[in-house]
Amino acid sequence: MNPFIVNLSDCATGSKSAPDNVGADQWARSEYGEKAWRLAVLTANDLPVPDGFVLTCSAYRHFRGSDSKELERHLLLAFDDHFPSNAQVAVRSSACGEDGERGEDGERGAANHATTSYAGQHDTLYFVTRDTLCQSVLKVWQSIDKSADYRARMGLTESPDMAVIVQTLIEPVVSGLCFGRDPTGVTSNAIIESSWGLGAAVVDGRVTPDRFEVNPSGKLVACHTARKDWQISSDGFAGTRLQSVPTSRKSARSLDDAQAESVWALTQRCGELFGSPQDVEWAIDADGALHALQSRPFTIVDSAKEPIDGEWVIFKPIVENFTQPMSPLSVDLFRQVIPGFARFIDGRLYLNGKLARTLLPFRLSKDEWTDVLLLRRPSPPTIHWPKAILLALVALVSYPVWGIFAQRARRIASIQFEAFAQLAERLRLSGRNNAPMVLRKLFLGGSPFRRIGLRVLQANVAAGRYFLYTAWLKSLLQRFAPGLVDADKDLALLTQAGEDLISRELVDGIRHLANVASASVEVSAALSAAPQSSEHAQLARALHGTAFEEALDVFIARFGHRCTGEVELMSPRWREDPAPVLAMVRTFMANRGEVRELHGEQLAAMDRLHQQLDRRWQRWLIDTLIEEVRDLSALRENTRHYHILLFDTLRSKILQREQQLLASGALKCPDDIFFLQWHEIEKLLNTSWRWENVEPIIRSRRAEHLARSRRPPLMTINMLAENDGASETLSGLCASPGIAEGPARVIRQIGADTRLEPGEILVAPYTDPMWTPLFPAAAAVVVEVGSYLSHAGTVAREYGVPCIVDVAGATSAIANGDMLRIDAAAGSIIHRKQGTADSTALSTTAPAADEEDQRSESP
Amino acid sequence: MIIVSALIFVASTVLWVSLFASIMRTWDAWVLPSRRRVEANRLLMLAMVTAMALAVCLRFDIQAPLYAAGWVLGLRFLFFLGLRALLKLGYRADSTDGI
Repeated sequence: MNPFIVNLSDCATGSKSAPDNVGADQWARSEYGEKAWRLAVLTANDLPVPDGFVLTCSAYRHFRGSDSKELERHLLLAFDDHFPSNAQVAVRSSACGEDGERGEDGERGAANHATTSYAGQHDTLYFVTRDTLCQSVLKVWQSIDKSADYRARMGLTESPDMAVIVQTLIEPVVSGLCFGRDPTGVTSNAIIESSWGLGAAVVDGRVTPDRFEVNPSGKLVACHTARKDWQISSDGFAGTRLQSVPTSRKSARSLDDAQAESVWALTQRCGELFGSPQDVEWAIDADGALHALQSRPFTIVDSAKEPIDGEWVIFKPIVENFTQPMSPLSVDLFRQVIPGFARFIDGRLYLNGKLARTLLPFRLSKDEWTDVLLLRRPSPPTIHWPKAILLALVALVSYPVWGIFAQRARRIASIQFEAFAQLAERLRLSGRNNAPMVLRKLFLGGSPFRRIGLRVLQANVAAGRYFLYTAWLKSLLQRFAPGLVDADKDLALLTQAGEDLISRELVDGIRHLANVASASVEVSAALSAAPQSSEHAQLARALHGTAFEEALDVFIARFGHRCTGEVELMSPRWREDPAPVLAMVRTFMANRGEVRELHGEQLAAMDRLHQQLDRRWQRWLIDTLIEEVRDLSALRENTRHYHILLFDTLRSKILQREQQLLASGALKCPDDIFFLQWHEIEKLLNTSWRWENVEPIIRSRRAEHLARSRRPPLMTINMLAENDGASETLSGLCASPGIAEGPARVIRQIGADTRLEPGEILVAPYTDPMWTPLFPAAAAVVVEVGSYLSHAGTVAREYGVPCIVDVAGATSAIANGDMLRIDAAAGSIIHRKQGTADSTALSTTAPAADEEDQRSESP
Repeated sequence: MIIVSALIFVASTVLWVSLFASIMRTWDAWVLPSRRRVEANRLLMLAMVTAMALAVCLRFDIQAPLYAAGWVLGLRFLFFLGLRALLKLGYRADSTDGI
């Protein structure tokens, strides 16, 4: 028997050649490599694995570094035995330990998760012919040197031996990966990633694949279709090339339901054979046949986190518009300019709760202060006079400093901010400034003596004082005009900013686009036929040369820097992808409403107000305040339009670098750059790092980002302490570990329309499958009855939500809006009531009424 | 006497701040011809009021407005110089620790 060449199907057991004192499987794995052994096990169990042969580790030891003539002779004999002479094959590495599990002494070996996947470390070569076979095998052997860094990081000292698999080449129509379990650990669903062409496009991260979720009973539960611009296919000779995907298929779904479910079934079968969930690389050929190309134990993302010091409250203005965590690059850049009392935690911006509380001139308890920071305090707190006098002195001292700025920024025409737009444009075009420099110049506004038009962000912050004026106006109206019937509504109407509002200009722009589109039959047909996705090319052709296209260009020139999630640098702007604008145009066309005539309503409201005010000075004071609020709110809104340019300019600087890195091959996939930090990008730019260095970083950060974005943001961190006397402690059994803090939401009966606000803690008497939709939004779950195995615990573990069960009397002890701190591992719930009056009111409400929204006002 | 002096001091502070803010606003508005005129008029008015108030104070030997001017200018400059120095220090600080 040839010790160097073995049929792939014979690699499942090495019993014939194994020395007596070594287990057959173990010997086979060390001789043929993990990958070959696993494929052989699949073949032996009738799973569809392409046929082939294996060049053993003995061959590696024997021939590496020696004359290749002998090796070539062995290879060609085996090739002729297995394939026709004109066949094209795939040559894959199968190193010992590659795709395997670490030994029993490994840190997480017992958990049976692969910790050394070597994913993407060793070469796989496609479209290899008889003539290029020997050369290809040598090339695969050489790739073992490439993985030295990886081995060092994983704590492996020895270079492994490498077997090589030579297999029938499958030319897939679609291929990808299936994770037997969600690698982020958030759900227990299997995740399938697929894309057109060879699977290397997905494995190497060159395309953002379609993503399917299949639940444990084999049903497809979620499907996210991505835009797949590239695929890897044959270059027609003996290699592969990156090829543009035909336009019609770029945004098309790459797997139908049945295919996704059969991929899932294959992965499940592999999992059963190896006794643990698997990552399976699969391919579907032109005939629709499914093939397993590789199976390895799934790699879990370590979600263990260090406890966070200090007291933190989420920065509400950002999280109101954008609940997703920020990408690592955004965090890295913004961290350089944010003040010391703010900090990024898990990709979200938090404010230091302790620091500001000591300075505030109000008698505030910790939870009241939390409410103020979360902008949901309904009544003004009581004043702490000694601190107030101190603050007045501080205000007097800072007046010379800020008074000048505040007056400068008071009634400023929005056109003055065009200077900022010009500066941003200059910086965008200048080659000398990199992203951090652009950020500093635009964020910090340069010298304090520059024109106010260049200090947009500061003007935006200064305009925030209209919150105070509004509160003052409200309290004055309560005193001067108690008879006003609908004071709140009138006030809202009166303080609405006038014509000078850029957001109104934006809405008018969309309305204008809708009017232009409606005027042309072709355009409205093209718009209504276009898919909701970002597939723009087809639509662009239909719109080319029309009046609508012209109008759209004008709109994009003015508002092209806007988008959803503007603070996130990864979000594509409307200029790059106008699909959201077109969607808004479609919505406007479908819902043609009357344009409200605000001016007349405002005058009528002003009349009503003046009738209630007896004295002239009262009218003067109220009118002045209303005007002030109107101007400042317009200023705040308008400066927003300009300071968003900062993020846009920053993004364009990053995209310039990304183009450079993609062209040089240092990055493989668009958007990967947003998962690096700036110093890592600099290393790539000055070529001290290569793709191999950043690939595992990007991979793990992408997975972490995905896991973070599935969890609702924690509203507060460490804001409730056990030992401050005002709180009580409840206890129960841990069903799903974790720590969470947030307002309670007591739900006694589930209804079809029951909703949780993200970040709330669900408190329930019991749960059954009807409650499952509430779990993903909950920060934590507290249940009166149940055990580790009850529904609540199982589902909570599935979603990674902390859960405590068996908390007797929880729904009666806890009221809606009470602040809870859950330490599920310890089974403890620290509970602080909202305030006696509120709590009494809540405890007497009927169960059905509990489901109504009783949460405090949240602007 | 102390209270009157304190009131004059505070009023002068407000006046100086308004005057300096007006100067800056005129500078800010320099790009827009119509607004430039409005701001220049406002500046002129304020300058006249300030000059008259200053003349009255000098006639009766009231020092508070002069101290107020020094206070307004000094604090403002000191603050911004300090801020700039801090920001420059911040620029150099290594901010590449882990996420």
